[in-house]
Amino acid sequence: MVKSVHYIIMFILFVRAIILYLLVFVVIRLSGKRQISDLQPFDLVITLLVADVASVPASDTGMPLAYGVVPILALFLVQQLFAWLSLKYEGFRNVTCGAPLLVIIKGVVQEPTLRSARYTLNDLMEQLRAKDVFEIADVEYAILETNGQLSVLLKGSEQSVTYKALGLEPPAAVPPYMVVQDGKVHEKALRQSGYDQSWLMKKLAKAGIKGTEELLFAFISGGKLHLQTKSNHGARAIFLDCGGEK
Amino acid sequence: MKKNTSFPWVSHAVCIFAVAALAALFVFPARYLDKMAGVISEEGEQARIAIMDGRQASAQVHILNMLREFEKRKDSIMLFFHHEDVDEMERALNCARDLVALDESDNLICELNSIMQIAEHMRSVENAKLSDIF
Repeated sequence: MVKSVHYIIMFILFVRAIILYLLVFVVIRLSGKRQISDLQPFDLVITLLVADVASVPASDTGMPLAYGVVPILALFLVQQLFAWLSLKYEGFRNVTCGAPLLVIIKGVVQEPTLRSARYTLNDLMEQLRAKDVFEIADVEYAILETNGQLSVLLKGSEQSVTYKALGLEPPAAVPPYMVVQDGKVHEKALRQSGYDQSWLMKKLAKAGIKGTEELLFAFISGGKLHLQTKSNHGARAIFLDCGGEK
Repeated sequence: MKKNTSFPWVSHAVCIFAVAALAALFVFPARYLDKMAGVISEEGEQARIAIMDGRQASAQVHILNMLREFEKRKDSIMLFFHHEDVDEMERALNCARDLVALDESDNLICELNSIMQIAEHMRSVENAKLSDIF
């Protein structure tokens, strides 16, 4: 099979990188959800390992660069394989990412669930506060997601009133478009918003602005044009109606 | 704002590139190493025989052939071998060249042995063992 020492070194580096990836992955996966932030375990592993693997040949000039390249490529391929398998197979996803956990059900904190996730009450309170929830009593359900984030469903009495609940006609939901940034017009965003440059210039003239170069930014959102001039032009915030001719 | 991203295609392309790069790193450099190590081993053996037979001039020719082969492939093998090993081989080859000029047969044979050892290490017919990985 492997015939020369060169092959052996490369093969060993390749296999070692994969073994270390799997080992670090298992450790992170078993260490509980509070160790993970935003990233899935198999993504976090590559973040942790790649920097370390790259630093060795970067600092040791006597080491060939290939000794850093091979493990990095091996890690990348394993991570891609994990990501693909977890997309394709739910069972694999459950093993690698885990399943969301209900940590509060109908206002009751699920102590065994917290314990199984190595999640303390302090961690729970911290995450709730981050969601602007300061009392457990306000929470109907709280779900600890696979990436360590907490999703919170407030009790009905604590939820925000919606247009629907009030029987009101909501404004059209359209994304905000940044049409000017640092004095430069974003033509594509302006087109997507349904307006053009001549319309924008008319609006600027109405606001007493000579040109887009005076603007720090301009947003079109919810039928309003929100402008702010640069600090050397007074740093004024101006709100105009988009209505009228397009 | 974008409605879709080209990331999946970029990611697939990078995966293919990674596999190709790994394959290239496994296959092509071995050619350089095998050829160079083969020439150095062969010339070294002939130089040793020549010294034992008292043919210093012939030994000098073989040592210079080794040095020439090494110089030709030095940059390539530095891409895949620890630079310390390559420097060690260069030092040993230069030392052998000086020793043959000084007619120091005993030390020269020692130096040739160490050169051939490094060359064998570069192309030795070994198989990867489980213990190598750990």
